[in-house]
Amino acid sequence: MNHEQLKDKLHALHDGEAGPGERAELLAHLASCSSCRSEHERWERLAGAFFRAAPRPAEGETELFAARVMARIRAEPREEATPWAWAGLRWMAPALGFALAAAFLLAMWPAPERLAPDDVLLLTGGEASALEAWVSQPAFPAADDMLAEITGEL
Amino acid sequence: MSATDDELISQVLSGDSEAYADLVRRHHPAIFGLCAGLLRDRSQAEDAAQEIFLKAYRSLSKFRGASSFATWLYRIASNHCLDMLRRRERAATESWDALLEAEGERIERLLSAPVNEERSLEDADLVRRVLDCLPPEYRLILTLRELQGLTYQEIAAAMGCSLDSVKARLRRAREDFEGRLRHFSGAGIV
Repeated sequence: MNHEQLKDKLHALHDGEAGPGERAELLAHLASCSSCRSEHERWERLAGAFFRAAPRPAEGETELFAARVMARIRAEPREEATPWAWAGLRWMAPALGFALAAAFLLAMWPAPERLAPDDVLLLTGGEASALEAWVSQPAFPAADDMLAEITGEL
Repeated sequence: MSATDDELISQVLSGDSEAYADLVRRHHPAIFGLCAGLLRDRSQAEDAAQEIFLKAYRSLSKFRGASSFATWLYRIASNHCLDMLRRRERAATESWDALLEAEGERIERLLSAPVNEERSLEDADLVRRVLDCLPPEYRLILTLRELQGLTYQEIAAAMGCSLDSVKARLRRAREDFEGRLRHFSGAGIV
């Protein structure tokens, strides 16, 4: 085993992640190898100096902390606190708003003016009622049909 | 017998939000310990822990139970504190070289002091300044392992990465930290 592999194993030993057999093997190696022992002790000292746990909070502090958290939870709007069945679909609100706005804009958009073809205008001869009737039809009738209708009326 | 985490979560999700207080009481020491270890400021740690428990409450419906509630909380806490450390890193004004120049002797003394020795406020501040010079990701993984005592598996779940990635990151973090302090002899430091 080379030194780099050993270094990883020594870290595993320090972290309590070495298996029982490996641990015994490593401890035996540390007892006989001053270089690895010094490497191992070096990290133990660094960790001990810089990663010292803060004192655990007293029970009273925890109680006070829980009270503060719960006060903030109670102050929150209900919908944020309770996971409603459709809470995951909240994205739909802006999407729905956007869709409504788009529909409104489309509805308000001025429709292109329906112009009667020139020949129909001429054929109606200024007959306003016939022209209006023609324009208000859902689809433009063919000019021949229109002509037949007007001549029939005359 | 007190309710399990899963039972309490079910109660909260069924509308009994007050049951969440028991989850807070149960996990406050560990989460506060992580925040205090990472941020090295009691008041900031208290605020961060509150935010973490609120975030967890708001996302409780997304908790799938794939890991334990404690691990899930650690994940939220790790992300929250990492964000804070990154912001602090961007605002940092003290370089590692400047810190070594100004505080070299005190760092040496800190490393030579017995591990169980009571630490002054000045020394605690020096530890914070030294750790502030570490990249936030290294600081997080070292704190999860050295201070919180999480196993590799738990760290992987808390950080959302693989076991191999945990080992590699831990190794890089340790090498970086050791490299920075290699000039200090301390007792046992070569």
